Amino acid sequence: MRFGGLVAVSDVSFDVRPREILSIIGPNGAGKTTVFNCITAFLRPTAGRILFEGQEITGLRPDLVVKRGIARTFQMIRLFPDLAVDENVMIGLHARTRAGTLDSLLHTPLHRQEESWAREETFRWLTFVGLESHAHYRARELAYGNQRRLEIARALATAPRLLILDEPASGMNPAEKAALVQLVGRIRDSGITVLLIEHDMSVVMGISDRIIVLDHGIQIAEGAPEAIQRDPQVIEAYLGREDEA
Amino acid sequence: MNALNGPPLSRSRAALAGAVALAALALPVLGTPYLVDVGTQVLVYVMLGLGLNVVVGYAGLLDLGYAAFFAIGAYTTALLMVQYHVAFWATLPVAALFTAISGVVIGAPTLRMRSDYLAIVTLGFGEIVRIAATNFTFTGGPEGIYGIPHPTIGEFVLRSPRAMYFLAMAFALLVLAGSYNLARSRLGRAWLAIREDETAAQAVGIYPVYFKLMAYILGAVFAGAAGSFFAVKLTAINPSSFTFIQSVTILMVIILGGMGSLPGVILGAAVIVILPEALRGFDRYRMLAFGIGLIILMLLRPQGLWPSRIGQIERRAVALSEASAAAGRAVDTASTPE
Amino acid sequence: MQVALQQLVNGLTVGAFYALIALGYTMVYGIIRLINFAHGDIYAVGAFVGLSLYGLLAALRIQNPILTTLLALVVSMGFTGLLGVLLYRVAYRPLLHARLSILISAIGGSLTLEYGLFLIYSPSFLVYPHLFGRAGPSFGSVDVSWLQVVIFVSGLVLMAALYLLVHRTKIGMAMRALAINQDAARLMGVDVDRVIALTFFLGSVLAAFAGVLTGLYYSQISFLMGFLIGLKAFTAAVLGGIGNIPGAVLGGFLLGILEGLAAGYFSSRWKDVVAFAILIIILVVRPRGLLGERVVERM
Repeated sequence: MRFGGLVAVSDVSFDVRPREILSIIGPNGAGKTTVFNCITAFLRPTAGRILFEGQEITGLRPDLVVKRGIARTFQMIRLFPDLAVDENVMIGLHARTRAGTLDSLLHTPLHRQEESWAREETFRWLTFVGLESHAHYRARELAYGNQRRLEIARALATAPRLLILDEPASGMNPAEKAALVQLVGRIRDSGITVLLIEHDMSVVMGISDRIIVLDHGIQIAEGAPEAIQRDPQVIEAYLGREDEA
Repeated sequence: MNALNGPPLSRSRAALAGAVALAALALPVLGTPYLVDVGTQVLVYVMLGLGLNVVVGYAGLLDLGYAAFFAIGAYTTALLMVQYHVAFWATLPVAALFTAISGVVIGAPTLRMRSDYLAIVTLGFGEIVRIAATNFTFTGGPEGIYGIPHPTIGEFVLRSPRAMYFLAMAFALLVLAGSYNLARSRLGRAWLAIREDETAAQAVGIYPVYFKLMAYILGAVFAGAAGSFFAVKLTAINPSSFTFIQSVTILMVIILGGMGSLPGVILGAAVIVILPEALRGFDRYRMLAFGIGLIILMLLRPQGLWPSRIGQIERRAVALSEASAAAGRAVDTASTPE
Repeated sequence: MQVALQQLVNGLTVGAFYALIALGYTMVYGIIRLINFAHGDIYAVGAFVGLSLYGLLAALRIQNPILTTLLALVVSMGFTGLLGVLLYRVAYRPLLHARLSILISAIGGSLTLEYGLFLIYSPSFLVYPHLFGRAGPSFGSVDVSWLQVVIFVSGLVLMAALYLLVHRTKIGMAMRALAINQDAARLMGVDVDRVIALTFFLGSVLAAFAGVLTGLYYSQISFLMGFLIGLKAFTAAVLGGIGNIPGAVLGGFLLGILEGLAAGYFSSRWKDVVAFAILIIILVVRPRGLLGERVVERM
């Protein structure tokens, strides 16, 4: 992926296997979020292809990528801050409902049906992440760790088969991180594949099935956590510097 | 899910709403023709305000050329009735179609623009429509179109102030019901999401282009309906009713009342029409008052007189200015592109 | 051909006006990302204040056209410049972080100025003194008046002076720094508020100059004159690349010429549509204008 004169990502190629938790790590500026932005179509790669479940998704619109089954969270949390917690999640159900303009204008039976279904689904996902008691708070009023969980709940509401988390543990205290690790585990157990970027090594090592390491836009290693920890190239790139976000 | 529907009306507000409804129904019965006419004007601005509310209040698109849709509805009905002797009711779907198309034509170029450019471009479109109406002969040039017949229901001709009032009321109630439904629907939520954070909205599968266009279309159709009514009420229309001043007046209605808020729009329309009528002697100061009023409103009460409870726009703006005034925003170290 | 040349001359004159006003839009937008809706009306105020000055000087029996014009210009520019700063302080500064509110406040400012003029002066046209006729050097069958030459040349001089100020002085550097990154500039010790105020001052001064000369050129002024020309000057600024000073100048002259040609070859009734059409096309096809920089959206 080339931005004008800067090549952010030049040699990255990997697959994600179903139901695994794959982490992408690397020093700051390595190109990790750029890769995510390409997958989720917020950036159009200047070269290369992205395939999902056998189909090419390179260059699609971001909302279409979501409809194909990939959801994401952002490095800097992007909630709808002035809406309620439950409203945030409910908006996540958008792509799974069909009510159109006429339905919305006239509150047709379809609208009514989908609204009550949406209420149930919203409650279900809020409970899954543990925020059901916060349903009516305004999103910006939540504690930081809970805001993260809300963002994840909203992403889960789109019923993805692949969930992409961009630095979910950043800014969290140890207790919140432990809860996050648990949550990600439960997400994987429910059948969703997880791809995540993270700086916190305790989180990454504890949770990942496989790890990919990027440095300066190039993929320098790939493998199981133990192998990565011992890989000299990786250590040289940055594991030696105890990086904590 | 209560927040999405707004918290239940407080007692005082419910009482006020009840009083207004009562007054609205009592007016044609008890009021003089002049008062009934004023009431009809209020209803026209209610319709226009509700329509602009969809574009600005729900979808967050600052349209400064809204009078163009009003004009297209009015001229469509006027021309069809005068030139082709079409019945009023039959002109309505045609006006709806033309205004919808114009909504797409005007909206489409603005879809990727920042809000300030969008404002100017829509202003430009508004002016283009007005200039076109003034220059084309088929629209009657600067004198416009006159001799527009009255609508009829069977044998009954709708001509009296009272009849016009009821017709306006019918239209306004439809637009009101539609607006109410839209706010509490999938479409309304999509608009909320786009307005709050367009990128996040895309990240949950919302395609902003479609929903922004839909806002323009619906807003345009509402204005078109108001325009069609306007044409038969005045029986003569000309470009001077569709100037930038008109667009600003409609904007003033929703800013004053509270963007995104239905009771606010009604209140705003009432104030915008009644205040100048009550202060007839001070007519010369009306626009100056508008100008100063807009500034003061933005400085002191940007959320309007009867603010919306659903995803308030200016709540965020006020909060933002407070946040940046306060010290201590943690600097984010991981803000470089990865 | 003669039509084209004549329209070219006229277009360059009108273009000078557009350019002078466009500079105000472009500078303010470059610094605080605001479309100063009221800027066109600042230009109108300049014209009216100039007229008042002429009236005052006439009452004082000062007759010399050059002297009165210079005095009218200086006073009008000074007064209007300060008015621009006042507008910023009252209507814009408190709202700098609220996108929607500041736009609406700007509309309010515009209406206030327009209808303030309406009330103070007159609802209809006012006539400027006929100090300079249509006499001038003519090239073949193309008429050029001295007034046109003066407008063109003095306009260029002012634009050059502004350019020098922005690119060769310390305060100009502060302005440029603010346009690039407000927070960084603040950290470097730039008094942001003062620089913004100066920007408004300069833009308003140029607009006032244009206003007085407009009165002399067209002989008639009205309280709504700022509305249309404001939109057109903004179009010119966008055409040249908003935020870019040479761009505003280029855009102004280009728009003036295009409009003149359109009026000459098509019909003058549709002249105004030309500017709007250009605005819409530019913002859709090439929003950065001719000389502007590409804006990158960061995620």
